[in-house]
Amino acid sequence: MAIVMEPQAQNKELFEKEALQYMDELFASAMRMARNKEAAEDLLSEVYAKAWKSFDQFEPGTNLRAWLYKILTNTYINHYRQKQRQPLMVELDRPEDPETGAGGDLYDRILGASPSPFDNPDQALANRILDQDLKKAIDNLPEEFRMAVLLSDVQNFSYQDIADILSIPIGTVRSRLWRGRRLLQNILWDQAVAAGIVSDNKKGKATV
Amino acid sequence: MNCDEWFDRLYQLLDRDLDEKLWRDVEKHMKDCRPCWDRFEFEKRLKERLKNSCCKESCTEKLRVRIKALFTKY
Repeated sequence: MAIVMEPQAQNKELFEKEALQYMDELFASAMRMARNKEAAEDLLSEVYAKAWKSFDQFEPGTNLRAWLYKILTNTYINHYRQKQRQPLMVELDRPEDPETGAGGDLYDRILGASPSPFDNPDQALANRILDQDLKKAIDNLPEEFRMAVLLSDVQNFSYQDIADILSIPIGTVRSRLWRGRRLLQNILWDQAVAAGIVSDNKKGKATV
Repeated sequence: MNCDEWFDRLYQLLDRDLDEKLWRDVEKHMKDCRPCWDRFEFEKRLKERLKNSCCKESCTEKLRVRIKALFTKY
């Protein structure tokens, strides 16, 4: 005689099998949203509790990972954002150096740091910029840009998935990614200046 | 396509968000222009570094137990 599982038990088994595999990457994302371990752990617990309670609303065959990220971003925005510290004030757009046109992005700035302490921008990225610098730079992005950069660069979602997760039009995804990445590069440059790796004069032109 | 036009499409190229024609134009320019090629390589590496820098954080066993316990509660 075949054992017929209760729908509840079937659901639970499926949920454990499918949804729990994303726990580590969701935690990594929660860390970049909440920006501290305790809050990220609470956030992740809440996400799984919500996902579990509404798992019958999930349509099998659709993107479970994107569904979980939508719950994560909504939970973060609705419950955690208010309690979080504000990001540092950062300039969104920096005027280019009228003489050299430098000061735009990290690549230009590293190239413009002449004579350079680096062989080239690729080596600077590989040898001088640490993982913790990159995480710190993401953490200092204003939220709307941080979410877009996180979902695209870190979690590799398509523009369409990001639009669905954040409930914004796809054109807004493109513009947030554009500005978010430019801003991230400004922050990385400022961090490199603050760490004494390079120095920057008032014009924004890089010098050593 | 000139360098400025190419630069405007840089992130769409990086994220594979281009239609076929635009993709061809963007690739053609990049293959003929070393500064743009180098810039693309840099942006690609930065994207990889960003991804790798964040994936090393995994949740603790304690958190796993806490989350699994939720499912028996509801």
